[in-house]
Amino acid sequence: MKSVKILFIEDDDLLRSLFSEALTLDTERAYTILSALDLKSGKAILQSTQPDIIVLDLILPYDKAANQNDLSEKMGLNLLREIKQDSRLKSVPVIIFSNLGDESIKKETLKSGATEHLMKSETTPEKFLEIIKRLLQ
Amino acid sequence: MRQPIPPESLRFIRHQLKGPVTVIHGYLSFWQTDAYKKFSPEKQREFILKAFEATENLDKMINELSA
Repeated sequence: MKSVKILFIEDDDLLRSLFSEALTLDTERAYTILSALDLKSGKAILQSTQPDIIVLDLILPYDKAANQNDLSEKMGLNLLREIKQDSRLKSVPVIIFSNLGDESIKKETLKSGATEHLMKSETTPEKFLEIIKRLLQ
Repeated sequence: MRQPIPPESLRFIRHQLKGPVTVIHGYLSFWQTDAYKKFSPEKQREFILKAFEATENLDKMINELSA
């Protein structure tokens, strides 16, 4: 069985848990899910790890532990740009996974290097798994 | 008379409300497609409890909006 590392940067535990469960339905791969609840911990994980895919929410707090909970869509977008400018990480596919789906923000994320921009509310867990499998092929 | 909600706030509220709706819809979709059968009974129960938790979160958010 192939081993795959997914970094999920998502502040909603229930959402992260739901879509992580979908990955257990893959009979060909074993997934390790690395979870980051905020931008700061996402960056910390990326400093020491090279995931196979990054799933990134757009509206994120900077540092939940320090109570820096102000949500901003710029957080996810800025991190996407940092990843795409990092020579070690730029080839890692980034799925923007958000409930912000207006055309202007989609255009912005795709222009900034996102591989996919998925609307959470339009993505069932099984569809999510199909997209992950396609990106891993 | 109540002031209309600014479009940017509406966009944010819509985004926040969609979170729990996505969770409820997502777990229910396992039953819609019969994928739930691939999970253990314990997992299935966990999914129902998580969907239930999401309904409570949604209710809390709606109450905060109308406060």
